[in-house]
Amino acid sequence: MKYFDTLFLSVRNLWRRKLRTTLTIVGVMIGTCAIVVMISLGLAMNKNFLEQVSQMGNIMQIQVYNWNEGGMTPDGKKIEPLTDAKIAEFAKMKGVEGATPIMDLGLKMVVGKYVGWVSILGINPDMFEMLDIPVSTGRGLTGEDTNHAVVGEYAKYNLYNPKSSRWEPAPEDLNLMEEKVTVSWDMSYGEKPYPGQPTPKKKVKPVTIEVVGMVSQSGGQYDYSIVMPLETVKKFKKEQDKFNQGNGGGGGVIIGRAGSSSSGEKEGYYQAIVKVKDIDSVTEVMEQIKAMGYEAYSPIQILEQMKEQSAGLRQILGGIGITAFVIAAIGIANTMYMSIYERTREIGIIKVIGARLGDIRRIFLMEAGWIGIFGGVMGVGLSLLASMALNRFNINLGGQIMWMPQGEGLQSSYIPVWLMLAGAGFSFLASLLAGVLPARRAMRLSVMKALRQE
Amino acid sequence: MSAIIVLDDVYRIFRMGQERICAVNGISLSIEEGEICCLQGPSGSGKSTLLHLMAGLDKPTKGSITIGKTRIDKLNENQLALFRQKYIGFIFQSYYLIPTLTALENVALPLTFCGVPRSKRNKMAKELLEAVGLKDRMKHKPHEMSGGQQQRVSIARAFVNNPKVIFADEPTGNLDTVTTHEMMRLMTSLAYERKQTIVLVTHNPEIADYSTRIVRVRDGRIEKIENGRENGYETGA
Repeated sequence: MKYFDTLFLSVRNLWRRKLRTTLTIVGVMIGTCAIVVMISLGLAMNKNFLEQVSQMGNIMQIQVYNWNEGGMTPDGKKIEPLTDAKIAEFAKMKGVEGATPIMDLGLKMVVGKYVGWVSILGINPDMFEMLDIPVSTGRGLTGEDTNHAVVGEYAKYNLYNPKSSRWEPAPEDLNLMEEKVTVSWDMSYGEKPYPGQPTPKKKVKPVTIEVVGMVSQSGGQYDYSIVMPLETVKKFKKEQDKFNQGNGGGGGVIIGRAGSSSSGEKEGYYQAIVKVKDIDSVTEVMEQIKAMGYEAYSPIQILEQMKEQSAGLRQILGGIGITAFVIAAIGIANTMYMSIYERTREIGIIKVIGARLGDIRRIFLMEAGWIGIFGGVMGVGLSLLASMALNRFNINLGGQIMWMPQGEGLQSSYIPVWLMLAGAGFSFLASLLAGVLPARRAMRLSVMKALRQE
Repeated sequence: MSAIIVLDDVYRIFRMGQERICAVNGISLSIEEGEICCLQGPSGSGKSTLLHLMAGLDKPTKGSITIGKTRIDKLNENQLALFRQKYIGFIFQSYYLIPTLTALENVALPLTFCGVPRSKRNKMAKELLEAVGLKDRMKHKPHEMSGGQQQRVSIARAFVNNPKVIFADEPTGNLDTVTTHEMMRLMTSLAYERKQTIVLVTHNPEIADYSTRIVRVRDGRIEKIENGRENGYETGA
């Protein structure tokens, strides 16, 4: 028997029992819908976690700190400094997209008559894009940049007029991209020396930096900082050290954390960022870095915890969905059995006129399969509607971190394309399974008995 | 003429609780190609069981049944299905048409199971429906037709795959006298044209007039074999 003929015949058989077929399909539809919606709730929960955790920082980035330098790793090796070579080693790990040291240098920023302390973050400029620093205007750093800088939105709030007798901060509308911005390693630059302070022996001329972009509120360390190429920051650091020595070591008032970062080649850096290619490798890469004795942090740790805590709820939801579907599948089996009883004689007839056992099994399996496909597709449609309704009325079943503000785009139900396909596919397969026993029964009907039945 | 159906000492024993009922009790019979063989006997004589055995719908308890060169009592169900597709046609007393299919689709159904493509099988089915005089009833469903018309459809279905042997179980049992003669003439003429063999079961003595041989069955045994006319077609005409 040709495949198409079997298809055609099975559709026809369903069509002549319209009411019962429809009722069965509705059952499957509701079952599929139950599964898909329940799973979508769980998915939305995870998605919300991810979204909220991402607000805490980039989930694909691992912050590496070298707090234990000189100590021992758990397996007894000496913890080495976080040098360029080490960071290159991170970058070569499986699943890692790139790694950059972060060098933190406190300098004086000078804009017109305003001065202020600022933290300069030196990064590998090739890595700028990978760090996902949200640039609102202008551009990010590239490999060719030298004295170019990307400035945080809030960096200007440190600026004030030192000549003024009262506190005079820089105006709100100061646009650093249009102003001439300079930095100086003389931390007392432009300040009125307070009584008793030794005046610097040498004066330094502030260095002009070119602001090429602004960082909009990233919620992280970039908001108050200036991001510049690593090499330039290293140069600044050397100049600053020279200046400080020339002034009898710490001649200026050193504010900030200038001393906490070191210049790299030998002593190693204090901090590095490792960017990972996909979420799944974050934990693994973190473990590797920790095994080397460094501290590693990523928001993913919080995410994993939350997922673990909500796993029970998700399993219950899934269980409810599967129960609903099992009931629908029993409905299919029931419908198929009923139709075999009704069509006993017909099965006998087609056996007599030459239907093979396989033909009969295929016809019945296909009927069950059609119910599954129609029910499944309609069930997915219904789920999409239900999902829309849930999202519109914002019914929350958890998945919200209590101490986080309600984030944008949080959903109650989330149906990705794979779930739609899986829902319809599952419905089809489960229906086929429900059709197996009835089809076998039809196949094994004795011709003589079937024909005798009126 | 050579024998197309050969039965050799065939038994069919049913068990009903403790009792054993010999529906067919040692029958040997040979039916020649092109014959119209009529099995006659009172009800319960075992004639229908004999027909079912010959058609491979039932298996003998003992003995061998050969159609052409095939021992059909040795075939499994799938082999039997293929065998029936190629060599055997069926006509039943209650027509046994599929109620949801049109006349054309009913006639084409055996070809569907053979895997004949749609256009070809529709063409073949149309030819046969024309031959049985139902040219203008092709799109009708069985319930829209009279008993005689339904039986014509069923005859067309039996002949559509050009089988070697046609088995008919009380083919005119539900029809009036005029229609009965029409049906018999139709069947015998179709079979004569195509050199096919017909084995039919009936207790209507009139039908015996169309047969080349009449086998009288009683209590599971052959009581008597009578020779009929030279060929069924000319007799009916």
